[in-house]
Amino acid sequence: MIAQAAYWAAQLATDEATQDDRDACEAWCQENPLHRLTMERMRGIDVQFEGTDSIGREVIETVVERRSHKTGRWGGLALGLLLLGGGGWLTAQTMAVRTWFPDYETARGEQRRVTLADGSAIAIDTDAALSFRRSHDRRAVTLFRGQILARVTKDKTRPFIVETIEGSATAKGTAFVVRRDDDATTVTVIESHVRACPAKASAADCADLWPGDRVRMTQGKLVRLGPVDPDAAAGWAQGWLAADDQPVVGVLRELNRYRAQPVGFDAAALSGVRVSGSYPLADPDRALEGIVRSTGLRLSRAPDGSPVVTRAK
Amino acid sequence: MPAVAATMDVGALYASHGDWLRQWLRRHTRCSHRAADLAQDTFCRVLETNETVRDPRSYLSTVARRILIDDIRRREVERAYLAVHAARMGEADHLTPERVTEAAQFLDAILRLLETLPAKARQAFMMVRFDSLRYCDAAQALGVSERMVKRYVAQVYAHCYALAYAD
Repeated sequence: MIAQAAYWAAQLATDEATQDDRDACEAWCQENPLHRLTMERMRGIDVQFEGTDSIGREVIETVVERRSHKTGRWGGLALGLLLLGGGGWLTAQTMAVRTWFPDYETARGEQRRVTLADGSAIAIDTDAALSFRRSHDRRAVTLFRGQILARVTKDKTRPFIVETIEGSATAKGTAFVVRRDDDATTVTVIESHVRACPAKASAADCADLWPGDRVRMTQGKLVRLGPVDPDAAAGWAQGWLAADDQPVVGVLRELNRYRAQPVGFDAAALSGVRVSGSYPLADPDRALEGIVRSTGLRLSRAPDGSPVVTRAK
Repeated sequence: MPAVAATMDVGALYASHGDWLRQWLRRHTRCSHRAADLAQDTFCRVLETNETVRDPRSYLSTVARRILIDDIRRREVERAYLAVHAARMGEADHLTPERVTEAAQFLDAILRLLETLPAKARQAFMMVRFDSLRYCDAAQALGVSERMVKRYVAQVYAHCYALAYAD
């Protein structure tokens, strides 16, 4: 898969690349979300080479040349330390590169909190993937999939931006949630204010959002959704799946994002059933039992052992 | 030497081994200012990692060794940058220390990606990616087929990916 993504990157590296090449690459990305993730990362790496000017290029050649042909004073010292250190070199090498390409992923059911290099804190929800880059004029999180809550540190010279394929959200203040699933990105503001812009749109298509505002961006368009309770919208980051008189079908779908073994249900049969309450995400089985108890639905097991929710007879 | 408990107390570590570490670094750098800076960086790195440690001195010297190597690499890149910049621009363009540091950091990271590659693959990649050559022109310059150049470039991308996302 990496070889294939590398092939596409090479294919698209020069201006000889045709629309057919780009379409073929896009088709490959659409085959499988993992293809898309791999390709996104490959582009992320490729972007890093952009800042290399002719001076930089000559520096690279000079240093490579020097390191390969002679073991100078410093080289000798480095080598001595290397021998002293055993296998430390490769790890240090890889680590240094990785801090350059920070990358966080969570498994299904996992939640993580990370502090980024700029001090901003990110809560990462289940089944998510993102990377973070900081340059002289911006801080950018690229969200490939899943949901994050960003609590942003102030830095006037470097705006904090969360980007997805569908659009971007630029923090003008502190806390907001960005979620990407399928082909849409939702932005919800928890505190202060955020500017959301759909991908490839003009400034006129952007929207300024305040606490409780929520927008959905898809295919270059931005749609405002009804206002939400900011605390409830960030509840998952506290480990709670909170529902306030909501259709149980939506809540079960949400719960399934955290479960290794999804809950089976017939959406049509359960329509009209509503649920309220807070359910623990760290223990999806207990959460399911809680939902079943408060709705009076019936919980049974399919032949393969996975849970099934139906209306009580 | 007592083992340090599961959650490491970096303050205690600093109090009991700080002097020793600075001496260790002074032996390797022959400069007390640099040794003090690097010791500082070492403790910062230790704070970030939060590992369980059996033998504090061997742990500290391992971390310090990595930081020292990184420092040596970056200085080498800085010197090369200053030399190339002076040769190209002369006095025309004024360099600030910040600009040099930033450029060296950036180039050091690029170097880490590219330096362990075979020379031909690296050259092919730099021609295509940095000099914006077309595949046919790069092929002619390198004396290989166009397909080969493309394979080299793909090889570099795969290599960078493996370094960036190794698990």
